[in-house]
Amino acid sequence: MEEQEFLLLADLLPEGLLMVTGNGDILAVNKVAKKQLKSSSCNLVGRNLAEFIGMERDHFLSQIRHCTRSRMPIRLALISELKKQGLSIQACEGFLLTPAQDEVEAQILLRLSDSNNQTSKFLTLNNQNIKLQRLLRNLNEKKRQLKETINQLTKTKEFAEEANKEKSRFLSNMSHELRTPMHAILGFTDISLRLVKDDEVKKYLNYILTSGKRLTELLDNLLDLHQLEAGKMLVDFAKHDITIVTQQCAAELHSLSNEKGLTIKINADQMIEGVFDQKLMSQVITNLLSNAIKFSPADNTINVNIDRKMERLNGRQQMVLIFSVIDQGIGIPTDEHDKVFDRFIQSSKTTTSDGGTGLGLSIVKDILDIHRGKIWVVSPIEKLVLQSDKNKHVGTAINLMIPAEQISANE
Amino acid sequence: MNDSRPYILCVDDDAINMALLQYHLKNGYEIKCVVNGQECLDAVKERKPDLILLDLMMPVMSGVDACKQLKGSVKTDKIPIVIVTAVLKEDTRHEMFRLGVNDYLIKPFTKEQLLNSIINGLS
Repeated sequence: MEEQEFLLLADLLPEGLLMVTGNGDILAVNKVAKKQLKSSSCNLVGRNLAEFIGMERDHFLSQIRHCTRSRMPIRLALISELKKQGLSIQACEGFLLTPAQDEVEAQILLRLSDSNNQTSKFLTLNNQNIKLQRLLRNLNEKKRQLKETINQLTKTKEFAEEANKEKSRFLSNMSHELRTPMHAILGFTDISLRLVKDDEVKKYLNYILTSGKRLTELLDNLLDLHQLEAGKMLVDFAKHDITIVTQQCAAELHSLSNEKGLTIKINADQMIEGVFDQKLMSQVITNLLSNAIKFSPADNTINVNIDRKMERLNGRQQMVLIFSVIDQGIGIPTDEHDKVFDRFIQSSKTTTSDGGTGLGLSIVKDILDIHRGKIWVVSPIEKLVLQSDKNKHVGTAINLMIPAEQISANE
Repeated sequence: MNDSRPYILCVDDDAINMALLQYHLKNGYEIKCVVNGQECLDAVKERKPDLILLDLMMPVMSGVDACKQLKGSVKTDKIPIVIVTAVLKEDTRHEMFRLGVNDYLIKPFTKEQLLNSIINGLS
């Protein structure tokens, strides 16, 4: 075992090393020593050093004992003797590796080297010799600990993956269990709405319908979020015209914006092309527009600016799409600009009657991350503050930027 | 009894959801209601419907298994099937389209969505 430990390290060193027992029996020979001695290890391992030195075995042992007691390096005049054996080595010095209590059992490390550079190298090694053994022991201990840590981490990872699967199953079951009664609530409310004549009842039925739709939307958002988190969302990057996508989203929200007398003004050239996932970006745009509609005062304009230009993004200058939705609403306090992208966080200016789940912008942020883009808030908008009535409507601009070209979906 | 209205087999284990289907289809369609996949197969054997509205998660036999059997037999593989389910999972949706269903409606859906799907399925 110790020979293996010795070779583990000694084979990495650029000089010849022998491991020898206190009796002079050769235990191991490293690669460089084999080469220096022009010998395969089996020729040396098991033989006694005394054979090579031409020294009486007893005399050799007493020399070693002397060195062991005095904790001195063992210096053996081997040059001529080794040459006699036809070995090409020029010098050989040895030193005590393990000062064992029974000195005869002590192990000796012999270092073979060329005469011209032996001194300096020898000194370094000499200071390290006791440490070497400890180092090897520590190395093995570390290896064992590392294996244990890897095992533990593997177990933890499997546990976490299992928990995540369990979460997926739970969410998907909950979604099914909630959707079934929701279908009945919305369906029969819709039927009642068509049957009933009384305007007040109609108004209340509409409230049920709106609330039910909101609940369903929350359910969808929760599932989307989980899929984004689990990395399960399939992303389909392709070239699209972002102006057209925005026009479509605005058209779908027309009844909503019309209700409040709002105009959505898209300021963009036709044909602003970029590479993105159309479904996901539509979700982003719809979300930003419906927020703007929700927080705009009635009979107002929501501006959407779209541009394609060179900008610095992700640490390099590149062609990007810049998209801003600017409303003239109540604004978002400066200290909340980053927080609005957190899960379940809504601006403090939002009241429950405004609706929403606090998930919308966090999903938007996740989708932008997938596109390696960024999103930021500007509020209040300076130009508006000057004109606004007592800062009540200071406006909000939500800006986003994505690379116009996605290099690769897998990157 | 010469009923020229299309005959639709409705399969759903939720009684209230079924009542909603019945209401939406009461004008213009002849319908039969059953509550699981096995009853659906039995009803098809008895009388071949013009279209099946099939829920997925049901006891005894699921809609997925019923659909596999219907699409796996030359006698029944031409019957249009519209899935009406609360299962949102994309892979389930893809699997059902691979099996050859005509449409996949996710609850909650509107009356208009349902009637459109049926009209497309019948044509």
